[in-house]
Amino acid sequence: MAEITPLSDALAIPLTRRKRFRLAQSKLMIAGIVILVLVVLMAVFAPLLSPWGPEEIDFDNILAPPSPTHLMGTDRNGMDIWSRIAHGARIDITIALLAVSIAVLIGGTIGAITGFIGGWFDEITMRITDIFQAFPSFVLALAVAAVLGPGVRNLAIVVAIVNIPPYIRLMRSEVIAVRERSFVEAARCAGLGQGEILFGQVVPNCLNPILVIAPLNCGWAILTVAGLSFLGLGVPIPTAEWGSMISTGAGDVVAGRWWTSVFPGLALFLTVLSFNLTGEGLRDLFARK
Amino acid sequence: MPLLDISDLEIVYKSRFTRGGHHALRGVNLHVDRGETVGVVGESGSGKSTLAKAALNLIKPTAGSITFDGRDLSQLKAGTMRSLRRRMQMVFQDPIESLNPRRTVAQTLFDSLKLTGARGSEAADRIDAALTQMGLDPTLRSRRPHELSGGQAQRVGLARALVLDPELVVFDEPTSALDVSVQAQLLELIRSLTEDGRRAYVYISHDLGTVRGICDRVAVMYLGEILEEGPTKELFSNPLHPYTRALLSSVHSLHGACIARPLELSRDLDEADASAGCSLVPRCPYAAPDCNAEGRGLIDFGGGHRAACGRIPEIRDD
Amino acid sequence: MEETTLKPIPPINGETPTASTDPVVAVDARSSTGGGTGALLDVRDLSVLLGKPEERVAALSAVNLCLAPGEVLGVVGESGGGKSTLANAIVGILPDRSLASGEVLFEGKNVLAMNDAALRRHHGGNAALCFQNPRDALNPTRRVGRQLSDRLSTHRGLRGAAADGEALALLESVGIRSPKKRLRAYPHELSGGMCQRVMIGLSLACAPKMLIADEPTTGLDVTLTQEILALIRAAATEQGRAVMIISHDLVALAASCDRIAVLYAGQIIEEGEVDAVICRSAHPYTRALLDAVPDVSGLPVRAIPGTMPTLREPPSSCPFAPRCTMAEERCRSEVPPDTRVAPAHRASCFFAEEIEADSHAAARHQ
Repeated sequence: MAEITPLSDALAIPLTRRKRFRLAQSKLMIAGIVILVLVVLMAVFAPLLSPWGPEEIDFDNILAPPSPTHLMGTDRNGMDIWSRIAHGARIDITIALLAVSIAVLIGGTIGAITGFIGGWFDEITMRITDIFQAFPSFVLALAVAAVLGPGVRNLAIVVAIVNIPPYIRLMRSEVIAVRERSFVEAARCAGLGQGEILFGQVVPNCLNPILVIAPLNCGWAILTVAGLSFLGLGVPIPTAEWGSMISTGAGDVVAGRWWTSVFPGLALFLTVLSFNLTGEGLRDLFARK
Repeated sequence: MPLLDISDLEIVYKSRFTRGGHHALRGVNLHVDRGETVGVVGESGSGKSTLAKAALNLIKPTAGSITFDGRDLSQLKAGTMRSLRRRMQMVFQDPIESLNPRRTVAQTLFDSLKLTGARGSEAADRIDAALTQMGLDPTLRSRRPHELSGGQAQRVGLARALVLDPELVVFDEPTSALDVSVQAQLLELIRSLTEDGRRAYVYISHDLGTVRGICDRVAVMYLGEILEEGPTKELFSNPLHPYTRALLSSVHSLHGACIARPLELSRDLDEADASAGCSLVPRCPYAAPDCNAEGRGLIDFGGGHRAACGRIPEIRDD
Repeated sequence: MEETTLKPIPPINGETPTASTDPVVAVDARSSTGGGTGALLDVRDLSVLLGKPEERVAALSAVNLCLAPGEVLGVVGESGGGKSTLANAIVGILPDRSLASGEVLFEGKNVLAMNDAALRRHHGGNAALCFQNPRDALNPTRRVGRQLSDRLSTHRGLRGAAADGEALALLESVGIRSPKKRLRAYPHELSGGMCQRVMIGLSLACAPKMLIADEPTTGLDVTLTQEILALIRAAATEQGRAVMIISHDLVALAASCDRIAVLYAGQIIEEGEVDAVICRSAHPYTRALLDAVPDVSGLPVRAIPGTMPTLREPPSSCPFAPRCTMAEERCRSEVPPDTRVAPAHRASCFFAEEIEADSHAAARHQ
């Protein structure tokens, strides 16, 4: 057979460029997951990792810069910033994961039912959802927090409530698309009941977008918690939490003591970033499939 | 008493575009006796798929009734209907789409068996037997739909329908999404199933050749009604209705047989043609002024051969 | 506007023509039988490999074809057999990662070696491809008339009123009723049949010398299939273009083509005039395919056991051997020669002559 010659190279995107792009993307996702795992480990093992208690006051070292005894310095109350960051991770991560899980469960269930049933039930549910979504989410969070009062448990509830409407919408639109597919008809033909069809057949095929959004949502949840605490509506004062740490340290930064706000800020930034990278990575994973 | 008796079935969908709604089926009468295979042919807009789904009570009729083994399906409570379903099953058009993408073959078949209450190893045995009977290797049971070829997926669809040992199976264009040689393999399988006469089958298709090879009786549908029905051999060798003649004359035989005297319909099929009188009037070369009158119904021409055209005696020797 | 009535496709001649008395000659070079000196398209020894290096697929192996203006050639094969690859190669739109050898000569120039500018002129102007799935091939966000006039302005330099007038004429010529109304319609507002007609109109808009229709009648109703095929055939018989129809529907091709080529696993295993290939088939696969198609005459379908292989490299034996009832040892170890069983009929099988004689006798007795 004659020698094989490749086709016009002008038409082909150079192979190397395409491959490099894809590797870079997955490297970012891996980085995101790694950081996330580290943060979670930090939260889990906080007591072991902290040389000081989160609310322990070192009277000799108020507003001390980073040193061997205080790796990230101390704040205006003499509390060790590193220990507070490690313990603060517990609160922020727990609330974020808990709140988003609740939002997914409740929002997903409502969305699935209303998408499947349709009719006037669907109309009413969507109008109520519209009302909730008409408010900017942070403003809504403020309002609910003001009503419920401060406290870690209430914070989780606030964040959950604010995040339910998007999941209702997401699940509903997926269910509406999937319920028309012929395997659902086949399930009906096999005599399965409505509930079994909805939760056993339809919903498992509607999870992809939710699995992608949820990690991104966790990142936003942490920011909401931090924001509320910054404004004083979140955790009570001496409790270690990144947002409130930034808030209490804000005044000191101006005076040149940068470590009081910068370190908690960095922790916040890295954690939210890692959630975002994981979510984006999952999205690309599903897109490629 | 026929196993399945469809009487004056009407199905109207609300439509933004058509005033009065879109009539998918307008007064269809069809019966299926035990052990016989009835073919339903038609082009797009004929309503044949709607008929298939309505027969199994997957669509609620607007008027008319569907009786299965003497019981009116619209009068049944949900629970009773569900338990009746094990006696009537369907094989769908798109083999891979009709399987849940997130469930394995075994799980899908298990879902079907839930109706019978079969569990554990008894169910597993029945599943393996059904797969083998359809010519599949039982190790396929752990595969997901996207890991199957079109032909394999459709055999799974067949297995799913037959694992319950139903008395009636409706095929909704089961081979139209398949490639030629896979189609042939599946048709051989279907033919062997229909030949043993144990079950009643309804075979919906647009392909006249397939229907000719498999069915005992054929009904020809056009824009929501049955225009002609009769024993297969009789209908194919002596088509009466102008539409049936046009349909048969537009199909060619590779083996040189001349199928029907040529008859051409003017212009394309247009769904707006549907009317209470004869829907073919705008296209029919034999259309006469009184063809538009309502309520002709199917006229009997003997031997089970019926057609809905009042002018047949004049035009049949044309 | 008057509706154009399309001529019905003449039915296949069921009579068996007189047997050829020419001696059977086995030809070494795999040459095509049609076209002759007036060939517009000359595909020579075309082989195409597709896919990533780890997953190479030999989509086409040593394909030889000719096509002259005014001829209608049908290419029949199953999915995976290489039909679309052949169409893409002729039009010059093979995917980036493919490797090709051989030549695709269009008016003497090799399409495979063309640069971007020459390829752009080649698309549409020389060879127009009418895609499968017309609804998908049309832009859903643009009106039909707009898509037509865009094509006209790109390839024929028509603008404004001239383009609109020509678009209207095109729609009429493909048998669309109320063309003025349809010009302003979006693709989703048209039925499948009308979309297919628009697709044909789009392909003909650039006045191509050659039209390739890829599965033009899949999913269409029986009566519509006949009309669309008549339309495509008219492009050859009335407008003098070279036409290639690619389909898995053997019956449709038998009714509308002058010549048929049968593709199996990327090779042309039989080629010749319609009557010869259908009534006097010289290859076991063609015979088996004819028996596997559900026929209106009521003959039972006989399936071909097994599946068509996907070859990783051009084959060194007969690709059909594993499924062939007549296969012998040499079929599995040698490449069958391209045997000419009649002046315009060839098949690549060791037993081509016997099979042809057998088919001929069987047809006589029907």
